[in-house]
Amino acid sequence: MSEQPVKTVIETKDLRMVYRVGKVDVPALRGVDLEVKEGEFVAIMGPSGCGKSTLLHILGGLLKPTSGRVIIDGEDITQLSDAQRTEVRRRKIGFVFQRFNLFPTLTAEGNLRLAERIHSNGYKQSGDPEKRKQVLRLLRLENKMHHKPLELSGGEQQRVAIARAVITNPAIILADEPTGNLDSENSQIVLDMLQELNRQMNQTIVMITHNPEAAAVAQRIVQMRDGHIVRG
Amino acid sequence: MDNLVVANIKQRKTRTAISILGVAIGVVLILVTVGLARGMLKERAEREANVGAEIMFSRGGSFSSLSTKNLLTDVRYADIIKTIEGVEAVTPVGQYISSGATGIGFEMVDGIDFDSYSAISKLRIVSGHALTNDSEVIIDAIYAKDRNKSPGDTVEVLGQQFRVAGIYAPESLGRVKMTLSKMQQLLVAPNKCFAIYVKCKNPEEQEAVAARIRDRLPDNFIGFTRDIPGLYAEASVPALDVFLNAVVAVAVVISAMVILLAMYTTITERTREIGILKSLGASKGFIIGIIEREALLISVLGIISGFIFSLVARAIITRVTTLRFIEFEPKWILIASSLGLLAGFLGAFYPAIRAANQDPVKALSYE
Repeated sequence: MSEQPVKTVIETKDLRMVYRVGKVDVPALRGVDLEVKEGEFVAIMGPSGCGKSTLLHILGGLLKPTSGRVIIDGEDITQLSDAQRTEVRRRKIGFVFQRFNLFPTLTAEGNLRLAERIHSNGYKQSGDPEKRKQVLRLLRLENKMHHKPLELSGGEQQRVAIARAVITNPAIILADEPTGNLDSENSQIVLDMLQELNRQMNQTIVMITHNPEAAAVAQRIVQMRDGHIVRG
Repeated sequence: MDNLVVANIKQRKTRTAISILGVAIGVVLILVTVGLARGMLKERAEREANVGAEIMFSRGGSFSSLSTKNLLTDVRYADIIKTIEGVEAVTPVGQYISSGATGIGFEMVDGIDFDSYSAISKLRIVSGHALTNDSEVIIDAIYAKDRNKSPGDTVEVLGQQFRVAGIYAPESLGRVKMTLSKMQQLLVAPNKCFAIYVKCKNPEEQEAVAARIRDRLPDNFIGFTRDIPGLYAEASVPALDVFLNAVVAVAVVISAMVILLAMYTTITERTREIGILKSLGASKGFIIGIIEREALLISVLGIISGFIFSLVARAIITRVTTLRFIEFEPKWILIASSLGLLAGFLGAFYPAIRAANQDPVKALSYE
């Protein structure tokens, strides 16, 4: 019996992005071709200004590229309207940010419930309590469900942010410097969690990082420079 | 506190309180102003109807007791009307409206011929004695209580001091009554009155009696006291309608502006949160929905506060002024509530649209 070929969940073709700053065109991406397979954990590294964050924002549908194609789980999002890209993001993408970006007025569980509500387009008010417990347990946050972000450590906040990203079973997790605001101990915990999600749930993860130690947990490292992929 | 809308309202207490106050002011403005206008008209209508006569006669073509114009009807018409078939009794009455003692509301003073007026209206003296001379007045129980006056005390009416002869009941027309002759003297209108009230021998024949009066004294106003509530209805006071509509419009604009400013400030302050919502895949409709729901919840709290403030305002106004009736009709409560919600919705609409259209990447990097 032959093995099923692994699906490509992210594919970019000759992706270019030019920002207009005043009267000057500033190229951020100069033709990026990238493929990420389902269940792959990819780290993108490179110096500041090399286009990593722009690439991540385009993959998440937050930005529309100047040219090129981006195919997310079979859908070419460059051909979609803003509302349609939002819909793809809602169904298929989970974001994890350097600054955690949790809602400070909501508890850990409240942040997860909000993500579930958005995922159901507002139809499911209460989400799935069992799933929330399961995810919070996986991220060792079961005792922090009713804590607000300011009552949690940086590491705990980032774990809640990861829980929020995975609670809706997205095809892809896009992590933008997830350990950038954490000390080494908490960084390691967060990286272990991401690795666990990748292994246990076959979660596809694309992570931007400056930190070679963080990148080392990924299965593949992509190096970027001046808007190009130079390795990986 | 997992609901974002409720959490935001609780988190930003000062902004929430100011917004609630803005909506509440609009509700109070509508309820108290309309309540005052409607209440004053109703009160006057009830007191006029208490005179006990069926027909009113006055010089000129229409009934207009809402003005302060001088006495215009010659009292000698009373002698003529008295001789008309079916008329049992007549009484000429003078009326003068001045602003209330506190400067809010108004006060109506009557000039009466005590004997003929009390015969028709069944007026009786419950304390003190009847009007016997031009230096006395009689007052009703509410006036006595408001001013803490008893028979024998002095009161100032139309710039002059009068001795309180007695307290009368039931309430009819103005709360203070002097002799008609004294009012004529004060208003420099000898032999004049405001209107002549006519009591019929058989109230069921009042139309026939009115027709006879009209035949005998054409080109005058002849009306029925049973129609007084209608004469005082809003429709018969067109300027009042315009005024009330203006008040309603101002109330809606005030409430909407307060909500607009509050929500505009809020979405600027929460730019980053809006970016997070967008990164989570929230649609424009979802973001507009969150901001509108927050504004509507604030509006509901504002409406409830507005009702409470209106009740307090009514208690204060009726205590410190001569105004007695401030009616909060269900219709106007419904209108004020609907307009409060409308103001909340409209006020939040522009900020909500602005939030929904924010660039998610810029919003996420907002400090």
